[in-house]
Amino acid sequence: MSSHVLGISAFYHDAAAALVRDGKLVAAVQEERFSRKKHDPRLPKSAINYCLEEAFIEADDLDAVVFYDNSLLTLERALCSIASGAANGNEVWMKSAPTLLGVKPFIADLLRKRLGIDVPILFAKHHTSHAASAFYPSPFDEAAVLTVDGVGEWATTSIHRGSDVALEAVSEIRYPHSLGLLYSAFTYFTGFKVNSGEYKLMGLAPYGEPRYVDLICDNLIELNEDGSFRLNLEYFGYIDSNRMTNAKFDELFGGPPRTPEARIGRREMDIAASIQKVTETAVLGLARRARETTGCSKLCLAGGVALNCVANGELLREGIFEEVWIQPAAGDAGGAVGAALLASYQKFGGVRALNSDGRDRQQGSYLGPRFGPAEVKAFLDRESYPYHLISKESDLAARAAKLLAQGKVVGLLHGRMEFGPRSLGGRSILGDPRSADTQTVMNLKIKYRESFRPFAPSVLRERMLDFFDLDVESPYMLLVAPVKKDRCLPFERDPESEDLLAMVRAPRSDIPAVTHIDYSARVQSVDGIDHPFYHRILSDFESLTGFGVLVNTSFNVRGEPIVCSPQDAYRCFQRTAMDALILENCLLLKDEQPEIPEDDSWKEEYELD
Amino acid sequence: MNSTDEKRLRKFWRKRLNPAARSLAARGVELLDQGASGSSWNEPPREVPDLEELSCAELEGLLIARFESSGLHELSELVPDLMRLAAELRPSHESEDELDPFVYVMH
Repeated sequence: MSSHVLGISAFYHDAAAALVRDGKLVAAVQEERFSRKKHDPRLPKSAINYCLEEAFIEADDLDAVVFYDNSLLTLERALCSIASGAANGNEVWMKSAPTLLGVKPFIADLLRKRLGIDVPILFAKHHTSHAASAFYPSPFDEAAVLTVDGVGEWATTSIHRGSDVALEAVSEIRYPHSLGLLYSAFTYFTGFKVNSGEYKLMGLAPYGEPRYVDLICDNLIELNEDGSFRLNLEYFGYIDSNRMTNAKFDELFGGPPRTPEARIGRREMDIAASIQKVTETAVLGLARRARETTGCSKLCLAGGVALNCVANGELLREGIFEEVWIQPAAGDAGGAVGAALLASYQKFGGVRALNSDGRDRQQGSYLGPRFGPAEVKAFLDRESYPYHLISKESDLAARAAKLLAQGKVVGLLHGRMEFGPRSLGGRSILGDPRSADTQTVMNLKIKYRESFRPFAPSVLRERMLDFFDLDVESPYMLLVAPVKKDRCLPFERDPESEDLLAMVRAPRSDIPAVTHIDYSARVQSVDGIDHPFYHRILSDFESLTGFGVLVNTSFNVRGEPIVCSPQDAYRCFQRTAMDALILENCLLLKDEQPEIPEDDSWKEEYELD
Repeated sequence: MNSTDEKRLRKFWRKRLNPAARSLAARGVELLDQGASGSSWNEPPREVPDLEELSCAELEGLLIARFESSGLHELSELVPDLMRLAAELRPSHESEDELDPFVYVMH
């Protein structure tokens, strides 16, 4: 008799559901993909429905539902935090109490009511859920597990030791000392949205000089020999106000935070570079501690900070661990996966059988919905949208590669949707990395986002070393590595310049669209097993151009969740300057589509991130 | 948030939580480890197991017990009223289930 466990993360940000059958991950998806509200934190009703459908079960077939956070510890910490900032606590209380009290104590009742079932509702601790999400799908039988985020209940950083199905908590760092909140404070200060703009801050870092590292280390964070850290809370607002930083922080950096959408100046670039360096140093310290205290030679990573792929790349190169595996949905959404796996192994006797070929058990992270060819065709026929049905996959891949080699931008919806914030060829926008204009065109005319933001390359696994100094797989786009020196072009950087666009336009290598200003790239290695169709497109592109690399960016516009359905994809295709769209085995060309009236009001549908 | 809920929250702050916080401060209790130096590693909270059920009724008792065991009587005493307040706030959140993720990242 099979056991089925549903994992749920919700009520912080990035609500998600995951379903595990007998220890195997069957489905995982974020609610935002259905609700079309980015980072949707609400109860993931649609995600739950999808997971049940994918497993072909009804809600009453579930053996347990596991929530990824412990309400007892969260309430305790929240009350202590609010009471300790009592001088200004009223403001914080009024803002946080409605959802803290109106939802958190009633999660079990809420889930039973919404699911209409009476099964055990279990609670896993936030960092246990993260740790489980990192260790169980990894290819390791035994590993140290490091989780680093803003805050869970009390823990902001934790070290676990995983062995087969056992997961032992070793030590933790607690709120208010938080590397995630430190990074978010700088995200806020540089004018980006907390919990969403952290990766923009990371992308901005290479434009700056790390001039503020000493200022940060002398005033804001103490990095200890034992890998732990402490924040100087005199500079932060998150205990006694609804701001991340305070006036003293402003004074330290010579003025108030940048207003969102205002021009990015030298100060913001240098701050971004500085906090990136400090974060990398802190992560290396934590990793050394994890190695010492667990004695393990392999490391698993999760928590929002594990999405800092520049720090991940440094960690890999430092060689503290022989191997590193990072949960692709490292943020809160991944907690649903961890919570479900934890219960499956520890309560329901799931057997954790590692793959004999050494591959991980995340299945390429293609864990979301698939819309089959018949469904796509029915949609296109119903709407009378012109398309070319190309039944043979090799022909379709060849056609896509040809368009890309001509400099066209192609949207791709193929197979199951990815779980996690990165598009990996299931819901991607692809472009030619050889063109110097690609980055600007894709940012401004397709993604409608800030011009400075870099694009990531997908590269044939077997060609990775031809392009990047990276000798381990990076299937989830979580590692940043240098572009091979012999591909780089000389580029004089003016450390005082504030002209981001000019810097972006300066060619830096023979794959300029995916070479960041510091000659780095956030690499996705693609093999023929997890996504054979995408691998084929890359191979055909290589046959035409000699380059087994493509630009791969998420299939959305700024502020929009990544597309899920063919309808979402078509809408996004029509609203942007994409040239072609592949929906399963159908190819749509922009110049054959019905003209849509010029109207930009749809951009208001999405709150800018 | 409707005006009734707002009044309830303000009243709880004024009558219960703020006085409790002041009393704790007067006793010199540090609710958060705000020290500026030294190692920040802690033992994990092994006394709170994973994969347990946690009903609202259990939550109240456990929260009281945790505050009591930490010597935070001011906080343990207000838990029953806090849970009553939570029950009053619950209906509006069941219908809206809207949250502010920005607040949640901090609190």
